[in-house]
Amino acid sequence: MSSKPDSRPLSPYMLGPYYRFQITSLLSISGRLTGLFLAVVTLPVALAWLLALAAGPDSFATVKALFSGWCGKAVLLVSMLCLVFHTLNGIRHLAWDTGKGFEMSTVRASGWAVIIGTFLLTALAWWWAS
Amino acid sequence: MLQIRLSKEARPVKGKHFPAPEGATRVRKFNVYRWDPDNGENPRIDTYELDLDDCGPMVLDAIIKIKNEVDATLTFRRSCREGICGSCAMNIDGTNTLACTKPIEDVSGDVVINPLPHMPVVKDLVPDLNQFYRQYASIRPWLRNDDVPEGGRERRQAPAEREKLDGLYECILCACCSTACPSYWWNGDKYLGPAILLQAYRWLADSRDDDAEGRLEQFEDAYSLYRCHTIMNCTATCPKGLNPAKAIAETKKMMLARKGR
Repeated sequence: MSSKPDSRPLSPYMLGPYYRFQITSLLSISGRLTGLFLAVVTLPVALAWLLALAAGPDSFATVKALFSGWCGKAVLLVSMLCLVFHTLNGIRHLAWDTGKGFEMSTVRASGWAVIIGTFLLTALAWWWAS
Repeated sequence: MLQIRLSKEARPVKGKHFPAPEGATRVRKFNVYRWDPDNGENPRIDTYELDLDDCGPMVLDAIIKIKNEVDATLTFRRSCREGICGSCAMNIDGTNTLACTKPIEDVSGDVVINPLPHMPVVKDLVPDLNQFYRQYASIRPWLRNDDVPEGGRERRQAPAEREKLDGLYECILCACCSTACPSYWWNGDKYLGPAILLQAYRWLADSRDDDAEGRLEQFEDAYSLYRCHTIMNCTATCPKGLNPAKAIAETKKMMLARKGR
């Protein structure tokens, strides 16, 4: 062989440009990203809210005003979507851990149920809260 | 190691263009990954235009036609042309499958053909499968049973026991599933990947095998088995319609039951 093995290029692989995004990988990576968002944004925001509440009516009013603006509402909406998605997808993973729901038709159906359920439950909660 | 982008030397560039023959009636473009180990250049994507009215129905027919009639330097593996040898596994239209059982008609637009993803390329569409085969050897894929069979001749199996091997024994080790798995891309050196784990479960599920304990013991680390995060790309892509993700889930259950004892 004229070429050393370590000079061999790695074949193209990335999800998106080279490997087609399917409901399988799309929901998997969404699970990771929503989990990340919940940990990095939603949890600190919820803690800040609680701390403001504990600190008294003035600080609570400040935080409440902050989350009444469009920017604050956007953070809450995305948090809500992430929370619902992460929960529903988590239930799907629990079913898989028991060995159930592995047929491709079931995987696609449960995947779509998670997507539709996420928007439906978020809309419902938003409607109920407003 | 999580590497999001291909290194600079591995990124494919635009390659040559081979136009359709004159008088072609139904032209389709095939964009094929090429890499020549001898010239030190980047991989490139060559475009071949074929007349589908003068070509067999499968993607393998098309690339054989290219090699025979257009560009003899195109390199790929193929053998049985009927989906049983697993040689012509490649990435077609963004998912892994066997070129011989993939109808060209199933692809809309240009037919994009790449080698199996995240593997060292030997040449063109030929990936280096050494690691994959080493991992297969590591599970010692043969019947382990030191008992002498009853009557000294064969190990008998009830039809119901034999049925448990359906959906497992059909695996042809084409590596489509393992190279479709993001976990295998990032941790392929330590994670065994769906194909090898399905093969391992094939022996765990075999009533004649007597070493479930030893087979499961091999998976007692964070990587070999547990890097499977149930992404399900493996099952979605298997050209034989098998379910590696399910086999892995069953193995995880056996691991748990073993811990509980």
